[in-house]
Amino acid sequence: MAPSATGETAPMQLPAMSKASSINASVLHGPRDLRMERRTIEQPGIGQLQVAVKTTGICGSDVSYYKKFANGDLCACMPLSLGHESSGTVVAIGPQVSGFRIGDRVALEVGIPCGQCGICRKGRYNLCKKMRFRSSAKSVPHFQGTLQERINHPAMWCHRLPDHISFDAAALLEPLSVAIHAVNRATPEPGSTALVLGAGTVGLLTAAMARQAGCATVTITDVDQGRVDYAIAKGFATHGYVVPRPMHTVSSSSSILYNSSSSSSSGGGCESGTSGTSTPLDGIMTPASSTYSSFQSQLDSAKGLAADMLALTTTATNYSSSTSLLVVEDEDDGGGVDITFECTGKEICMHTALYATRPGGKVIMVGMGTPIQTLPMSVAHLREIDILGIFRYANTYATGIRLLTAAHAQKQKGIAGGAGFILPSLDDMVTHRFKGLDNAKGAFELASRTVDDDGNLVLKVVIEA
Amino acid sequence: MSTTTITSSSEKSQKSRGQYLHEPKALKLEARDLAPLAADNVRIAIRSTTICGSDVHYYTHFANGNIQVREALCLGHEAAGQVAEVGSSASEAAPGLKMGDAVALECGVPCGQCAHCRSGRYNVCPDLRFRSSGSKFPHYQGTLQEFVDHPARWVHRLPPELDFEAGALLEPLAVAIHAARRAGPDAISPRRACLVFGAGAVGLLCAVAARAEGCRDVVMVDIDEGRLGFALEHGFASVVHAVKPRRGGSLQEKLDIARETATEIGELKWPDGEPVGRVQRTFECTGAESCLQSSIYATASGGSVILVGMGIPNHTLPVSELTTREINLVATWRYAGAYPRAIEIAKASVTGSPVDGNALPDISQMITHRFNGLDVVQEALEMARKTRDADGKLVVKTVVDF
Repeated sequence: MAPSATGETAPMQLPAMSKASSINASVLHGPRDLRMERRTIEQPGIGQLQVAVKTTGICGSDVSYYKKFANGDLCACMPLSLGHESSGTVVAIGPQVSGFRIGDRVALEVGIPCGQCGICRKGRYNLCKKMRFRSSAKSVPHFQGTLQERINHPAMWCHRLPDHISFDAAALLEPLSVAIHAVNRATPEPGSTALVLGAGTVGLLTAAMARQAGCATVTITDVDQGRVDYAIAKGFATHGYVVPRPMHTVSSSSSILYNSSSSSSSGGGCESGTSGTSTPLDGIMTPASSTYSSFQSQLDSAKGLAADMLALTTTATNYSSSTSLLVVEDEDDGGGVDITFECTGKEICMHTALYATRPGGKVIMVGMGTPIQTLPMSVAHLREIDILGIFRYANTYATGIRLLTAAHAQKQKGIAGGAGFILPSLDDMVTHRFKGLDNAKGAFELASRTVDDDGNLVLKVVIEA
Repeated sequence: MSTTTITSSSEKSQKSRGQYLHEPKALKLEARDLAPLAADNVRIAIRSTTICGSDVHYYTHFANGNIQVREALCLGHEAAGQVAEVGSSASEAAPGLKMGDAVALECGVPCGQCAHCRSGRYNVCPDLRFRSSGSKFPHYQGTLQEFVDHPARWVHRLPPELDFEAGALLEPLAVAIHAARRAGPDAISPRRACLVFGAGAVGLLCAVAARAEGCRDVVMVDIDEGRLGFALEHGFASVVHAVKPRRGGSLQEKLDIARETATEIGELKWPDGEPVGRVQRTFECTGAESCLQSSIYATASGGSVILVGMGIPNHTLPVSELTTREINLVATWRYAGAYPRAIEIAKASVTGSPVDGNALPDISQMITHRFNGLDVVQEALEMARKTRDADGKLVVKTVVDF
């Protein structure tokens, strides 16, 4: 007998007329232990919609749960449906909901804050202590993710879609929201310069949003040539830099810091002694070694990387010798970019970020990375570089929809650039598609790679109903 | 108030005697020639120099962090004095400045040309020269000497309410004001509160700067109960908490201890009985890694840890705490454009008047140990290294008066 859907918002006790129905759900029971199950779903309660989930994008945190049943220090402690980047169709409407009709296409904002506390009232609801986020193990019982046939979700957190936004693009409104929020917190000035470390989905969208927000140059970097090429070809960034791979693993293993007998991850019950990371590219992430000389050499590598990255967009030497039109003599060359968006979560990238940012600039830490890091804080001090943390997003879906609509309108009118930056296609970012929840396993396995078996770029993997 | 006055130009000194550091803890009294006064400079007879932690550090190590001292260095950069001579074009930068005027020195002189200078953030000008720092060579000599020729643009006239000792304190006060400004307004919590790690001079002055901006609830934390007692007694802090110094072995232990400290702070009560909880703004004034870690745990979601104290170059931090709770690490480096506000605040402080309706403690109480004359500069530096003098009295700020 199937367990009922745990963690769903409990519907109101309606009189005997309420009909539960049964649905299929993809449920994770342990590392790589993904099962298809039947669950019961009630009719949508007050203020709720029942949504048939159509498309779900897979993100690094989903992959982390899939592989380790944990995300960073957070361990899952009960069966968990993954998925949080989703769109679907309204199939039922609960009481006291207005503005929706059966058949409406919606994007799902899956984080539900309390709405009452001080921080919710100030609008920064992403920081609500009582936040329940689908597919996250943070709250107990776990709020189940969107890899289910249908879910009941508060109507206020379902965003209606205009016809021109596909289910794929709508699912990508979630990572786009992260990018919008990161740029909102960074407040770049028009004409300023940005550096984005990491060209995965979040890095790409953050770079695009930096351009959207008025940055004159946006340099994107990654270890993967394919991703950097994609970023430039599609216009996510103005400049690209491929990080030489050996530099990435220069830090000597400090699994000693994590495997020492006294320490295990602070999340009780985790089997793994090492902290995971949401970045799908890595297994174990190692923070800095405890020996000074190798940490110093890591810092020196980072400094060198930063200098190489900056060289793409600035020249202190002879302008006429530059080969690229986009390299200009910048009299304001303050010794770095105004803002660096760190989208990899890797410690060495934080080092690079600090060296690459100009005095008075900012480093924005986007997304969950290595939980504990050793940073050259003296660099931040001497250069008055602020370091800002980013956690998910708040008040971004309407902006995302508006931006996609603006991009669509511009393309319809045949305006190619010049009339303002056009957000690159989100649809094109979906490189791989798995049909049916029962094929979810394949999606998770692929989502942790940068290229598929045929050598094609893996960007965003989606699971379709 | 100083009693010596500057007399007529015929008595202008051609030399300045000063104490120069040649090796760790070895000072030599030297009389150096003064170059003819540059047109845009003023010659200042130094009257008071308060000693800062960086002066002590140079004195003890002949280095400060990565910076090695490369030639004899005169220390001191928190100073005030009297104008002894005015350069011929000095009035362009400082109209009305005349002989005998009491002034404070802003010891960091930037290039004035680069993008940072033009944007007002001259404190991060790469070519800025800072008196008493070994970072540039030849070294820009400090104020523990009789006369300093300084650009008129970078001296600030003292109002009559401020004596030379208060004028010297304007420098660390500027650091605090700059930190409070960089912190920005507290946009989230209804209570105007802040947390200060470190009840030394910098922490005390950050409390003053915060109060001047309307922050009435200040909780200060330190390992030294005497410092905390001073902070409470003189009205710098509303609530204090002594942290037992514990050193964790493993990284995990260190973070656990940091978390516990933050929890202890959260359980304190404000004077009105409400729990302190997590505050929106934490001024980290110690530079110690453990305090930086605690600051992060102790700060409310969406809030800021303002980095004022500087310690070792690299720190291990709970980064996930910064990201999941959207905490900002706001870096501060010295100050820019803070002296006028510092003068305003200092004036209110020493006269017991409020600033913008906010009551302030008296910063002149911070000067606990006085030394008179060039001959005792070494003793002053030795005193400034300590938290207690030979009689067990708390050392907060040490001043050398000439």
